[in-house]
Amino acid sequence: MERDRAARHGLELHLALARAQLIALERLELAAVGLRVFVGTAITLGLAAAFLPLLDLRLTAALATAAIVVGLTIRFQEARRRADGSALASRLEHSQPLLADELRTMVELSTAERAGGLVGATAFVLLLRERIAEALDTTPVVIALPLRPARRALGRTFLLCLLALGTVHLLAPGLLPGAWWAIRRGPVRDTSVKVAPPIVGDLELELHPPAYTGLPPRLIPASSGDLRALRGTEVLVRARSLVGAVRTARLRLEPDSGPWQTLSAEVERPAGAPPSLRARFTVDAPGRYRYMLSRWTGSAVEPEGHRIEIDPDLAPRVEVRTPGEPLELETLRPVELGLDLEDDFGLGEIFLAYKIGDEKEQRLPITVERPTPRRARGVYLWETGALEREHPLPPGARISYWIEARDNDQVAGPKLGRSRVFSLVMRKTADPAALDRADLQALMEATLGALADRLDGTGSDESRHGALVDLATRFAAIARPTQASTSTPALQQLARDVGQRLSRLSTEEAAPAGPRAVADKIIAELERDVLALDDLRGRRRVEEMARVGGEMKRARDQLKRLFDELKTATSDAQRTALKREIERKLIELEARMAELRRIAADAEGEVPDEFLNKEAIGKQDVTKGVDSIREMLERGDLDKAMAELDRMSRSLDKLTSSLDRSRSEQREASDPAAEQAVRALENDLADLSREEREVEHEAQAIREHAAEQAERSGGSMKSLHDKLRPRLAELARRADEQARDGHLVDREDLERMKARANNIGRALDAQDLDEAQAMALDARRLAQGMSVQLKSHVAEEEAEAQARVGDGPSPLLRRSAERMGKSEELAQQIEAELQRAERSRGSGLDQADRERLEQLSRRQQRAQERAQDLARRMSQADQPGMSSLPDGARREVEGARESISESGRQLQRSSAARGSEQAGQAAGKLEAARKQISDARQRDESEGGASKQRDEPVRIPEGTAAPRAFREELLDAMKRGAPRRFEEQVQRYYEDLVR
Amino acid sequence: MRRALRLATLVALITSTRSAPALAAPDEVGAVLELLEASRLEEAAPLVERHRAQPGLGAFVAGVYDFYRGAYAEASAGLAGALAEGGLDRMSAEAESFRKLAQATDEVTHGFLTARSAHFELKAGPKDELLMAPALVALERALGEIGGDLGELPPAPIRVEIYGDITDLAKVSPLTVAEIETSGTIALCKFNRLMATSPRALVAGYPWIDTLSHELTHYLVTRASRNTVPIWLHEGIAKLEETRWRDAFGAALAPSQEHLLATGLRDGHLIPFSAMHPSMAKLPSQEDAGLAFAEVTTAIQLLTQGRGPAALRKLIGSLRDGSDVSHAVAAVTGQTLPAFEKSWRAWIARHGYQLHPELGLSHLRFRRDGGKPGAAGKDGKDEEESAEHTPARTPAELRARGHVRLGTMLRSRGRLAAAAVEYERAQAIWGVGHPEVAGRLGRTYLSLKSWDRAIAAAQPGIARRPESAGLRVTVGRALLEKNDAAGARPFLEGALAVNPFDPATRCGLARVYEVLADPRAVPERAACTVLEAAP
Repeated sequence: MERDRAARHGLELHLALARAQLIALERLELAAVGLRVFVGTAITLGLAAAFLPLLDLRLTAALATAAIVVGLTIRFQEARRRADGSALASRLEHSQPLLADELRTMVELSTAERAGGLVGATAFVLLLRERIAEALDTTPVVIALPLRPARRALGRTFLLCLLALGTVHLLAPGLLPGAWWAIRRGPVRDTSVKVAPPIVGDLELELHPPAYTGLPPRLIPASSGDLRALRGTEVLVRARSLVGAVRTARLRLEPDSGPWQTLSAEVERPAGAPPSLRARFTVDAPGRYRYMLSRWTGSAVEPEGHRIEIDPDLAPRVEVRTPGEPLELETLRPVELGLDLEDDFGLGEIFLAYKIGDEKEQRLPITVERPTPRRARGVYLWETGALEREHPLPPGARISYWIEARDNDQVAGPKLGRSRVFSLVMRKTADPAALDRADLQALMEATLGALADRLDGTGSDESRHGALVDLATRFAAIARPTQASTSTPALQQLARDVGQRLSRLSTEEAAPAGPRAVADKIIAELERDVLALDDLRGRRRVEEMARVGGEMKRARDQLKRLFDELKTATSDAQRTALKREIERKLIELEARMAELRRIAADAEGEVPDEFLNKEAIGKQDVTKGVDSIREMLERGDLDKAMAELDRMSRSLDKLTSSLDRSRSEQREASDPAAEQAVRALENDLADLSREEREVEHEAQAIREHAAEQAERSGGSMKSLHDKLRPRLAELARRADEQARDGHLVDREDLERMKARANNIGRALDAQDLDEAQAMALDARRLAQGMSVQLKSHVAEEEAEAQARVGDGPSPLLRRSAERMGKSEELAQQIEAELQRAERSRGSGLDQADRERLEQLSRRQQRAQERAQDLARRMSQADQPGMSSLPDGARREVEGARESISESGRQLQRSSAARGSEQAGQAAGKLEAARKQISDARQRDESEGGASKQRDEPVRIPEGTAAPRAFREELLDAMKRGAPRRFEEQVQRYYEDLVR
Repeated sequence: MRRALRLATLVALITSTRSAPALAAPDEVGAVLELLEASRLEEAAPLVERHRAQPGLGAFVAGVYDFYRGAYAEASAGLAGALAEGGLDRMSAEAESFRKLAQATDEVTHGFLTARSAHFELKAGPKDELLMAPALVALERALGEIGGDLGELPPAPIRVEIYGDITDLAKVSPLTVAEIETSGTIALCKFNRLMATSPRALVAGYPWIDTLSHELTHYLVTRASRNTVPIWLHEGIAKLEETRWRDAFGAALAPSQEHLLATGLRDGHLIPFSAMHPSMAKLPSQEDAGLAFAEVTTAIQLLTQGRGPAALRKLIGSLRDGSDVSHAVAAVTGQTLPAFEKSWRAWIARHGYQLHPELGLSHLRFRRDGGKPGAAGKDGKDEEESAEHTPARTPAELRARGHVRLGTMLRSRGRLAAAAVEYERAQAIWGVGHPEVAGRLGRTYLSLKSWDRAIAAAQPGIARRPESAGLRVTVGRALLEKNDAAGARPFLEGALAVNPFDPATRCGLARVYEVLADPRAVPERAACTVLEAAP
């Protein structure tokens, strides 16, 4: 018994080991099968995705995966089951041939024994077990199954699968990603057309756009019934029954979202003709509609609904040009804003919105010229002075501002269009006079002392030399960048120059040749330095006075405004607030006058009397005037108070103009050569600018004449339109397609591109090539922008796919990119065609025109030489006055030179339009250069307070304005009127344009 | 001429009231007013007194007469009474105007001090007391000379009033402050008196004795001619005679006038005599007015050339006797007026007048602070300071101005020797006597006690700028320091004639008079003490 137990135990141990090995073997085999099935399935799915686009690959893949998993699981379970019985025995037979029979018998008996089916064979089993145990004891036999071949087989399978996948990918790169994308995308809507008999035909639509659009009703005969209309459009659908007699008819509206709605339709039964149907509805949401007919024999519904698409009414487009962004101001001055607003149907109110810091937003209704109800453009002068009504703005205060415009949508309510947000920042200004005062005084005293010692021979050579070295050090210290906050750049520059010169001279003086050799040079240098310091000090004083004068004038202007408001104030509260504000301004005026007197008194001895305007200041009896105003206000005599203010104003104007004059005279007195050179330069710039304006206008006149000639030859625009019509329609269609494909690009841009395509046709119908060109340019830019955007998306996604972090661009994206690329090409072709037409229009030039253009071209060559000469003069920094010119002015002159050159080239080619435009740009740049120079003189290197400049509006620099667009010319042409024979057409065109 | 027009208007107005119940004979009223305008009060007095008691025109004429004789309060009250009585009709406005003028003059002169000499009665405010004595001395001397030249010795007293500032002058005359400032009018002869603004009212004083003499000449010409001399002749004679209190007859043009005339000749721009009618003040600019004065002065020089003052007497006599100007000029020169004008043009063209661009046009600069005695133009500084920064015409001039500016800065810091070096450098560029450097360098040497150098620097400048008190004081003081009191006297007296409130002048003169045992030593010493004690 004991032996049997031991034998059983040993044998079971061996068998358990063998079973485990067998299961491992089965797993390896199953893995190999799984790999093969997976690869096969993947390739199959790829093929399916490529050739069966409607197949729901996600479902297919899911089913295939499930089938594979179930199959493999079943097979594995079966293998496990077999591992207990004959399979194990069979395997052992192969691995232990010597004990094969005994082992198989033993396994089978053991299985039967466990199942309880072995009766009466116990002795045999015991014996057999003992025998096997003995055999196993005497001959150490390892029961082992061959795992290695299975492993190798799995490896081979893996390699084969990889090879198969690689081959497929090389042969058809998109196959597997396509399958993956299709699985991820899920089922595709079945777009197959179900063929079912129609029940209505001869559909005719009559669209009545909402009144606010001003659009006329539109009839669409022989329509598919699909429509695209603005929300609020009333639609009348006429149709004919194709199913014979109709008892009643209804129209079912099926919005994409929301409940369906059934409307009754009228049925007319003309004799001898099929019934005709009429139904009305108002477009409110995208969706479908279909007729439902009741017949005596039953009902029928149109198998396919007719699509309703919403034509969006876009928010106004608001573009703003500003003098700078952020615009920095030392004091509040009127600011020029260039506005260009457009809406697809009509503009409503326009506001200037602003926000001071974190305060509440404020809105100011503004008026801009409106050439048509859809457009507004022009320059708005923002009186920023009103921002300080409540309290003065501290330096650093930031005002955010933007322009808002509503459209006239009366269906969905006015939509708001906003420009981008701009900023106006109050610059922290340091008073240059205050900054420099102490340093100037100290340097002046030290330099004068050193000069006096040398002139009258005070002290020894050594002490004078020491003083010179000290002086050089003091100048150098002021010139150091660390001193930036305590002295102006002008003083720093002066100190740097003087310091270097003195340092050099002190070195020379220390040389063996001794002090005698450089004595005169040092005295001359010290004299020069004292005069330079004195000049700067005098300028600072006069500038300071001019600044205060300017501030007084501003306070006066604000007072005038307040008085005007007080006169029209309607409530007591308003009047009280305004009076309080007036009192504040009066106090400010008095304070400024006191400051002016103080400065004039301080400056006595530093500045010559004639520049101090002591007499003009003495005549300013501000206190008396202010007291009178107060008294009259108290009495409620507003008219007299205003008259007194007027009297004060005149006197103040005289004072400020004399202060400004002093500054300019003083500048001239200090450096007459520089002043004369800069003045001559300004005059030359003005002359050249004037000449360019003349060229611009002459070329413009020639162009107009040529255009008239070309128009007289007639018909060309119509044929051009006919030629371009298919391409324009194609461009519009592509925009629609892209819009349907989703929001990969800005929907508004697509709408605009489509609108431009339509407008090109309209412009050509109206014989207006310029407008058509402008529209084509716009359309091309839009298409280009969208194409670039899509292409960059594709490139990005491809890059991500390569980096294995993405799935690559979707087919939709690829299709969109391709579509937009083609749209861009199309727009380019249209533009090129129009340019060709423009050039051929040049053929409207007669001989006299050509000769005039030739003359203008020669004139431009001479002008270019003059511009070159100006640029050369301005670049000579060593010449009097030229070093202080602003760099911007140099750039403008250089730009003007290029524009003149281009203008000359264009005129040479008989392109009057381009030649004129370039000449205009040159004139603008020259004017800008002159203004910059003039402003710089006023500002005195951007440091002084220029009261005149402070009162002037901050204008939009000429250079930043977009090149004059042809659209502007169209507006000008509108003002001038059209040639008589085209009046009617033009009228129609404008009516259409403004709808 | 303005006066003539005004008189004509008055006479016309009076004549038009003939139908009114006049209590005084209209012809007599017109005659009275004519006499008043001609400063012949002694002749008007009997007529006025005859009608004084009569209301209306009688009272009006009496009021005007009182105003002309200096009884301002009585005039004001009398004219107010005449207006209240009524019957003046269209004369009411005129009466009201005189009444206001009389009242304003009464107010302005209230508290004035009065000083008298043999022929003059001088009134001035207490602050101007210091100029009363020298003024009377100079006026007596001027009357002697000019009266002799013109053959006119009016009965005493000739009334003179000196006002503290131009606003007072505006109140008592038909001029406004703006007109005074823009035209540079600082004195006038009207309403039978000489009116002048005190030199205290100007930053650097002004040749106030010349001005008083000028107005005195107008007074004498008006009287002598019975107000028949046209304005250009009036001004020419006055300009020529204004220096007679200190110089012989026929003095040369001042350098600044010479410059204006030379410029006019160079540019071919001379003012015709006819364009000077009715008033010099009507000319478009101060330059034109200055040129016109230079022209008429030279015209009178030519007229009197070789004939002496007798020519003036003859001219005035002809006009007084009813000749027109052309005949009057012909009576003297043997040429009609156009021919004389032609001769005059040729004469000045031959004369060779020199340009003095460094002088420019001298503008009077009024004080706005009310002025303190002694502060005006102290040490001659103010009269030169302003020229430093006017635009330089040449690099050399720019350099010279730089040296002057450096000198001034050094001097203000007490570095006198160094300042003198800088001024010397400017003088080396400009030449000796240049107006912008002569005074400064002279004063600097004066401070350095270099008397000879001070004289050498300043004295040549006087010829170019005779109206400069500073230069004269500098030379005078330097000479005095050298114990040359007699030499110093003319310079200091010349300075006194421009700025009597400069303590250096008055104290210097006191010393001179003391050395020379001149009786004026006492009042001058008193004036010196007052000015030195002034804050």
